[in-house]
Amino acid sequence: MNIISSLFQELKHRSELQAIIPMGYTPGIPMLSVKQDNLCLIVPFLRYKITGEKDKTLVFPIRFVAEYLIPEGVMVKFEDLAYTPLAENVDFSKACGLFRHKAIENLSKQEYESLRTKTLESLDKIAEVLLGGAIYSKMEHELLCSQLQTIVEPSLWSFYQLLAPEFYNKYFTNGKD
Amino acid sequence: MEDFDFMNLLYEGDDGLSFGFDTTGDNQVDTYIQLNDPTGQSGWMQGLDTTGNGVIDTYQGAWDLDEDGFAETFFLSNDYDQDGSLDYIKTYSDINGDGEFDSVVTFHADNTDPTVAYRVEADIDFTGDHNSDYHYEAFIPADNEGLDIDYNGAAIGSADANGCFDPTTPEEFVSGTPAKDMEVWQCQGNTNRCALFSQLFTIEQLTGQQIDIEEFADKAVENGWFSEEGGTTALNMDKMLTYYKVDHDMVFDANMEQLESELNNGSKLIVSVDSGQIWYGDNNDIFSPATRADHALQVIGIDHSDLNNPMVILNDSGSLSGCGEMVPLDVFENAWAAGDHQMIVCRA
Repeated sequence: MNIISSLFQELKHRSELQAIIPMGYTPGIPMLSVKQDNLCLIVPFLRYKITGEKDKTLVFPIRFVAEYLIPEGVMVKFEDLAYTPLAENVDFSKACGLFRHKAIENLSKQEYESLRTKTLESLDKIAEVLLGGAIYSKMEHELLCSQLQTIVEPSLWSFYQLLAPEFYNKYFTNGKD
Repeated sequence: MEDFDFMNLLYEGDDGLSFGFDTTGDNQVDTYIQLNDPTGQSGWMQGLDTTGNGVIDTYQGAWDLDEDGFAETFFLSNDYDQDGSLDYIKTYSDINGDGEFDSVVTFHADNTDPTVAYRVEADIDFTGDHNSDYHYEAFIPADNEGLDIDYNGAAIGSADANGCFDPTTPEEFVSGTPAKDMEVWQCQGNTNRCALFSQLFTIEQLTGQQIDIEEFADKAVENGWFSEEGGTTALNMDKMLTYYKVDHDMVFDANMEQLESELNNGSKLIVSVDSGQIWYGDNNDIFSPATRADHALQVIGIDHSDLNNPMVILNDSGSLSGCGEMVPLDVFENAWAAGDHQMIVCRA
């Protein structure tokens, strides 16, 4: 099963997103969350601005969040964070970081895309476990921790913590928080 | 409150003149033009408040630093985050006076290191082959007390490597009417108005009207089809065309054959693309994680002058060199794929 990978690939074709999310906002690495006994995929949308300088692509705060029921792939929630209390502390028009960050500064475009594909495949595996169809090893857990902590821009970690606290605590802090 | 006309003389002295323009009529100067600089060398500089928030965020200009009567140095600078301090400055200079730029110097604000104000890179082409012969890297410390310079021999890259369409190209080599369509091009500056400008170009080409972009944007905002901070959604990319009663269709999953056929039929075309690929190609150092299209532009022709290397001709409001900007067909194809091959076909 590759539910998460497939849904991620499908996102840009989805007409509901083409209707509500402005051009330029792209899906970031998604999070998993169990809500009311349902497995949900939380997809953040943010924008990047290429400045033309190496490793100086501007990263903007996560602005939109879409939640999908897994495995159905049905959108169950959509939120513009600019209309939530978060807006009091976040200026969505200002860059919050730079791409490529240190952990991936040596990755080419193809290598970055390969890392993203592998991270999504690891999320596929977790989804499979949570849906009751697979066994999950400590090694696989550590691999996902490492992949997420490498690929997700450090400037976005606080958003991940806010949007999916359990997921963040499990995979971004190695369970130390 | 001070009253501003469209053009206002702000300063006049032996060392130059300075004008302020209120281009939007909101009684605030949003564009400055300065002629001659305070050190007495001839040149001009334009400052723009592209977002209308009162902060001048874009500067461009040219200077004749060696005072030979020709401006040999051009510069562009941006305050991306609107904090009043420049984040990016790029200068192009024609040092040997042969009419071609041979030196490029870039300053980039470093927000990651509190001890560094700007990273500086300079490339010089001594031989005129458009490749860098010397590459310098330096940084300006936050205390601004000196430069630390390293050398390496890396080659220079260029976003404008393919140049712009030559309107004198014989028509038999070209699909579409790019020479005429280039006449309406405007630059969007540091705004999210790409889809608006693409529609405005199209309406002006098909109806002959001249449309004020500010009124155009106001109308789109009023109707919820555009916001200055967010831009336009893919499905709202044709709303102003409908408003101006332009006959059009929006299609997805189009292909190059359809696109060229529509150009030959006299249609005007708007597409959504991944701007990174259009402006920087397949550069392994300059890319973003984006998987969706982030930019709208007009396809105004295809140039087959070189049969082995057809070039797609664009009216791209997002680039200073976007008037008749040319990109190799395969690069365009990849950038267009990010936008699901979305195409808006407009007819007179």
